[in-house]
Amino acid sequence: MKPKISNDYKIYLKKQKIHKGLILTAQIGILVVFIGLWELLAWLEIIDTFIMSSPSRIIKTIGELYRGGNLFYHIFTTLYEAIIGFLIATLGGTLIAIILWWNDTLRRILDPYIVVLNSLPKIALGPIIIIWVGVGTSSIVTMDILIMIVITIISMLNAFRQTSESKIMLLKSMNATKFQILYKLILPNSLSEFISLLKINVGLTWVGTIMGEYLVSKAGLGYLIIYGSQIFNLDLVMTSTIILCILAALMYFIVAFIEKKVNNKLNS
Amino acid sequence: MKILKLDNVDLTYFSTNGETEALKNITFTVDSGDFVSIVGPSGCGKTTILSLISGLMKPTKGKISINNLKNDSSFVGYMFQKDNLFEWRTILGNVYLGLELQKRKTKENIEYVNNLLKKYNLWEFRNKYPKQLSGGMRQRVALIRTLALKPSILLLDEAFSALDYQTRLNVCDDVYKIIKQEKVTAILVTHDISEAISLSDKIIILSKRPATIKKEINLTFDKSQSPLNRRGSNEAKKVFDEIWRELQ
Ligand SMILES: Nc1ncnc2c1ncn2[C@@H]1O[C@H](COP(=O)(O)OP(=O)(O)O)[C@@H](O)[C@H]1O
Ligand SMILES: [Mg+2]
Repeated sequence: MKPKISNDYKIYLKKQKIHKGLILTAQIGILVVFIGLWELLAWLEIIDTFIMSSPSRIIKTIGELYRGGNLFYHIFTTLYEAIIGFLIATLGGTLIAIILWWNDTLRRILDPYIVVLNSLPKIALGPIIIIWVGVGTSSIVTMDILIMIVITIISMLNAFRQTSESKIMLLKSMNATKFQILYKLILPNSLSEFISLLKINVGLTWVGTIMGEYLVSKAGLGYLIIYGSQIFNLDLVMTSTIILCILAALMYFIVAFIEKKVNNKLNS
Repeated sequence: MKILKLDNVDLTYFSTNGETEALKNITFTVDSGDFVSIVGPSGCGKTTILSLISGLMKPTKGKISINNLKNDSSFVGYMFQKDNLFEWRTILGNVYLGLELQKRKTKENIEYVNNLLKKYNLWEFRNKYPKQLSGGMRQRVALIRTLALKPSILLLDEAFSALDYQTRLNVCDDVYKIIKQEKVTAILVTHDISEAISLSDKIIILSKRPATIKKEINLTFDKSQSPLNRRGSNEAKKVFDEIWRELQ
């Protein structure tokens, strides 16, 4: 049954639609103006393309990378590292959080260590990682995991521990085992926190990966940026940065899409 | 027939802040099929008594025995002030919860629960989520979730306190009807004297902490009267005054 829509409501809906359109137009507009102005200033030689590059030179560079057969090689190297690090840190961190929820004594013992690890700037561990793990992809992934795992443990453990005591009592009164409390209550109850965490980690994983590639790498977008800056090829630096932006945005939108699906299910 | 007996029960809580003597010398019995209310000042140890009966805690001293009358289970059901429905489960998912936990989700039990939902007008909401239901309906779902496990004793801890007054009166009536129809023994903890009077066969009055039993009052209402009708009666007024004086 469709409710009857009043005229005023129709006008309201129309206004909302116009407003939404306006915002989208402005968002696209900013991008177009930015790129256009950049290209124009470069063409008028007001800015020095040697250090600022320009949109057309970026497109040219992408073409060159593509023809050299290197474009997708570098993209996939970084993407692979970012995704592997993301998965290991998110799932591993959640698993550790589950173990710490399960064993409260262990949680209390490890609490100060987690706090210290959390405040430590992970980049400081870079040289140690290289020496211990070796020069290669595994070092980069390790750096990436370190960036995410502590915050993953802390936020998931927080979510687990915030589950209502009264609901736990209810399950206990129905003779539930600890394992049942975990998978019937604690985990589903923490789902929305888990999704928020995915959104945080999907941003952090790029920080970790690029930081890792800055430290040690033979390929990847971070490598291209460092390499480009060393040979003063700003076209390469800008190109890699832009590709990175696009990849990060894509991955974020995928997670945001999953979040929307889950929330729709929860709020239906 | 006695279904429950507490014999000289003491309970002391230990924590790093010290010991709290919550219960002292609690002795009472509950007859099968009766509705017993426990009233007392807040913080005196009412919830503690229920936790002991449900087996969530062991007494420091004394004995609690439950007579297993329905020989298929000696399960003690527990209803809390909050309905504690799981927001991510449908109504059906919520009422099946206990059966899942106890691995008793048989065809027979499912049918029993479905019938309860039908009988108490919740069947058409079975695929809805808790937040789509009113507070009163949610509390009824919580009751059916507990009844699904066929408890021999049902514990209600301030089960109606979170509802607004109007809803509370109605839900009280509904729940009472369900409890009586399903022939469950019920023990209600409340700080609402009128509520206790309107529902109970017996009222146990507790002292301040550490709780001891100050008085037991047997009520002689006509059992067919609804709680709402009882509230206005002369006997209710008399008993109210008596309890009020005890609690001062
Ligand atoms: N787990 C606990 N540890 C220590 N003290 C507790 C605990 N639970 C309850 N108490 C104390 O025991 C007393 C009785 O509590 P409770 O049974 O919840 O009271 P009521 O339900 O009558 O309000 C209170 O003083 C409370 O602070
Ligand atoms: Mg209480």
